[in-house]
Amino acid sequence: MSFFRGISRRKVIRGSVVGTFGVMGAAAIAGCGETQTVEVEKIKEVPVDRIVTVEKEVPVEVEVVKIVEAAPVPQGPRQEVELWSGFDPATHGQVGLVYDAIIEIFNAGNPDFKVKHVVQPWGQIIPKVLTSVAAGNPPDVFRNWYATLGVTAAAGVVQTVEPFIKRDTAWDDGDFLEGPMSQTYFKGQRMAVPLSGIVTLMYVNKDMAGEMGVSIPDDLPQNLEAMEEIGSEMYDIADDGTINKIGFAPSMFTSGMTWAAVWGNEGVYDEATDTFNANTAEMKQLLEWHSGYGDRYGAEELIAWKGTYGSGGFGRFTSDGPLYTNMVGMAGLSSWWFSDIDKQAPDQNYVFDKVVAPSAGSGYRTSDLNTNIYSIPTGANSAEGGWAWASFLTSPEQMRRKTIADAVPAIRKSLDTPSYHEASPVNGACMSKVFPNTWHLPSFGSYNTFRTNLTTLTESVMLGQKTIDEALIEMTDAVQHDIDAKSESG
Amino acid sequence: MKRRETLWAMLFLSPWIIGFLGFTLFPLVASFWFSFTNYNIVNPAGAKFIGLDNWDFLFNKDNVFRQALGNTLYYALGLVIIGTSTDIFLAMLLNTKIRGRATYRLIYFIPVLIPAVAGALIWVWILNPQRGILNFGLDMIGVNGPNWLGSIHWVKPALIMMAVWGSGRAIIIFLAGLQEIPNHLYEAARIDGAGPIPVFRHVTLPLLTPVILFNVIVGLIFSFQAFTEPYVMTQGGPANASMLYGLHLYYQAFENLRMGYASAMAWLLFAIILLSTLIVFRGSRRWVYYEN
Repeated sequence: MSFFRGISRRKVIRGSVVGTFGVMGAAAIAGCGETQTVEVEKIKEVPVDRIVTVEKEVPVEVEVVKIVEAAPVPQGPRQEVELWSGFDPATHGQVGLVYDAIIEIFNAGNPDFKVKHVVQPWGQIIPKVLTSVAAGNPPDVFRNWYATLGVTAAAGVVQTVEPFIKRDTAWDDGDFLEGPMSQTYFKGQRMAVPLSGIVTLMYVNKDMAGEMGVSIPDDLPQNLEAMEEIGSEMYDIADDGTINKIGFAPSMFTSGMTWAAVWGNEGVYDEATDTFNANTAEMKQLLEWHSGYGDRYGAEELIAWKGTYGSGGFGRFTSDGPLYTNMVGMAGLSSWWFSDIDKQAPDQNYVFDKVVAPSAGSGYRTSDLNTNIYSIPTGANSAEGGWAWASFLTSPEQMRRKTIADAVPAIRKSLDTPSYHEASPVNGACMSKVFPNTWHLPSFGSYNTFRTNLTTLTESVMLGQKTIDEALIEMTDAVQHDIDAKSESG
Repeated sequence: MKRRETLWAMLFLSPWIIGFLGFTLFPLVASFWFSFTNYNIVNPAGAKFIGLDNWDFLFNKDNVFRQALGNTLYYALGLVIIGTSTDIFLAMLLNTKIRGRATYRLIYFIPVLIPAVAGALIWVWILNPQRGILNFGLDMIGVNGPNWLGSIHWVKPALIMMAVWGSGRAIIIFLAGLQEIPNHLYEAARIDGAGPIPVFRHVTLPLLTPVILFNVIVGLIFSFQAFTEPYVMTQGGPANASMLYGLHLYYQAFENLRMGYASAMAWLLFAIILLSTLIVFRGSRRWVYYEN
């Protein structure tokens, strides 16, 4: 007691307040770390007869999901399922909200499992899954990409889902489109479930065209050269060569893989023999095409424009982004961009269509295909729970909900309906015009090496640092070596 | 008694020794072995000895490696030369008897306290060609600022500039070095009629050389391992112009999942740092002055 004798009550209260704020401050700082855990626990668990979900159409936001009554079923303890994705409602707007709502629906209805959603930065998911698997403490399911399936499967980071599919009586293989499903395989084994498939569409900003005095026909031209002609009229270049506004530049916004598909490069990788050869006429045509843009508008200027506006995914989640402020006249855009444009620039007048074929090329494909998938890591504590979530999310009802919010095409045939097309014209166009002719490059362990080499060597050619022949030989060597190295470790 | 003391000493030292053995020495030795294997972290049992394949690829086939090494040498030399000169200059300014000296010293040290990622994000905005404060300032004096992070020519100078901003720790060390220089040497020089520049050249600089040597070596080691700033600010772009060695190593290890190859890269980096340090040490005999 003697210790407190000299301390007044006022001082104690002041100290407590300061201490409380200190703890709150520390908690706030800790909360600013790169990993954020979002546990959705809003549901009052009272037994009711049925689950009712209400969907409401609002002008801009495609769909709002609210759980009015949730009904849990679960009477005993449920196993926790740790889900990793980057869908943070704080930064992903409607997409994040819908994702959280789907988790709530799952948690309300599943008697055995309860999902705990751990938000990870997108770029950190794969490295963190890798280290967590190595440490024996992985999540139970995580959002993966077709592009990283090969490398994660080759390294033994993910497990096959074949046993789960065989046991799951509700699973309907025949309802999935062939392309996205094919991209869940690695060396003959299914290693993931497909949720959605990203493809590229050609976007034309009619508002910007109007500003530049360029008229856009109602029906867009059906060859690439004519489209490029329109794009070239929409450039705004300063006297010193600085590009203020982009008309069309293939190195912008779109992955190089899209243009590789458009220029007919399907033959670069042979899955049967696990061999890669970029030294082809089609790849040469592709690099010549890119190089032409470097010559015309200045490679350094194009790369600088990308460097300036490309950070933060070209300002995807801010209304200041270049696509929302009439700085881009024409671009090949991944299908998810369109819902963002509708949200960030609701008044923008644009048109879209499939990417059309170059008259000089052969083996044209409308786009490459990037399937978004869910994988169960090796050593997952609750692999069954991981499967329960993955199969629930990819069920027709939830897939519809998720893909409409996300504006990526659904990959179940049963969703290819007039009402779905009406609800999402972009998805509808993808399903009817793009999907039938996409390039389904199999996910192989060196996919990222290929993609990275394609991007950097294309830039090197544009900058005149390498000849096309040098670049093609280099790309072939690098990717084939990577394939060989990984097949050794398999 | 002595034996008993030794035992107690070992007991108290054991947490560090165990930590060192488990978390430093073992990974060090293991990574050397991994550099000759196709180890991928998840499947240690599947790692196979592949001889010099990783090293062969590193030297003969990985063009990004060559580019990354060139970028890192540029960055390291630029940072050591510009950073050291700037730090000495600022330390001398902060060593003068001016009002509010402690506040100025604090201001220059603040960047050290800012987390690297937060600092990098701040600099992304500072260097923005359209809205950044740096180009705004340049514009006010009639200079058309470059596209710092978007240009293949300016991205490395921009990273160096940012690193110089954060070198408060080196300034403090220089400051301590300056305060160690005996005052009577300055007084003697002044009595002999030496002005500020000769005093700096013949008194300050020679007596500061041991500190310069220390900061050059620490700066070299730091700059060869630089990772956070390019990872956050440029991801190695544009056109790999800011792909530093550490970043390429990270991509190989954690995105391409080739730990064996990344281990080989790490050991080569170690050799480069060791060699650079030895060269600087050997060369220091010619320019470092030790008073005793």
